[in-house]
Amino acid sequence: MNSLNHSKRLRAKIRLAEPYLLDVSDQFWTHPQLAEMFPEFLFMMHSIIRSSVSLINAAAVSAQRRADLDPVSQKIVSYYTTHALEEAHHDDWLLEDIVAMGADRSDVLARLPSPTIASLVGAQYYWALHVHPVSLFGYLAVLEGNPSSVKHLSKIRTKHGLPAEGMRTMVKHARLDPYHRDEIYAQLDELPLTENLSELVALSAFHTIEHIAQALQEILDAHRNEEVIEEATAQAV
Amino acid sequence: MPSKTKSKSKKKSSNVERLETAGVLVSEQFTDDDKKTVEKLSETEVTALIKLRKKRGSAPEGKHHLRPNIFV
Repeated sequence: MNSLNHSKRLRAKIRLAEPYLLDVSDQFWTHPQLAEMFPEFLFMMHSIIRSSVSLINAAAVSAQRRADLDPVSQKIVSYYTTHALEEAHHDDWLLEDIVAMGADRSDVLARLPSPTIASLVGAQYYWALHVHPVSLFGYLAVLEGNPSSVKHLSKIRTKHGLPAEGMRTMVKHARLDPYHRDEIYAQLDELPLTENLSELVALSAFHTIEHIAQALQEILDAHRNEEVIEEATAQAV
Repeated sequence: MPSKTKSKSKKKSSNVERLETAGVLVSEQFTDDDKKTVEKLSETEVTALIKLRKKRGSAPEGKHHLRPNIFV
């Protein structure tokens, strides 16, 4: 694998791990009652992206602290600083979408996110602050590495009757993320990564895959449980 | 005094063998270059992939998968 550049190595590792995410993702996006679960999906997404700017900035500060002695940190400070600016207010966009679908803003903000999301994001803080801030590349590569196309989103919206106002942020990201993906991988190839750091980035990516899959599975499970309760109630009446 | 009986050391499985046994990959679908790439995975990475496989199962092959468009 040493003959491959860092981005190709990371993509190869992600390909080995991502069937687990693709499996549950397929179940979610092809579910006949997708429209009923879609608000939960948006809430899950908001739980993640409300942390993005803080998380990337924390990694930037951690990199800045190490920059004098560490060439990798030196190279990622400006990337993280710029990327945090690029991600600013995306959580506000998504909150607007959720509100446009009928939710109350204060209820969304007051609701507790799943511990799975806390584990997803929390691990990134741990690695960035206590191990090495380059770890965040694994997280970003998974989250921004496979953007949907606008056409694909449009098909899903039409098929399931999803409201357009609930998908505005998703459509914006379908347009933005191909550039972000290319930036991540181009930046990764510029870094003088050691084997140890390369492994850290991969573990961060695997952890992200595992927890995103788990979060999607929780939405599917909750929906299934609701259906079971409804059936039981209907039979009891 | 240590025993002079030489115990035959068991041949260490390759990463491809271990991952295939665990159901992470199907080696027939991998090119030689792919396999070389897999052999460069560290022990920690291989272990993480096997744990993931145990937790979540696998995706059907040959299918156009739907991406979740999770974003930050």
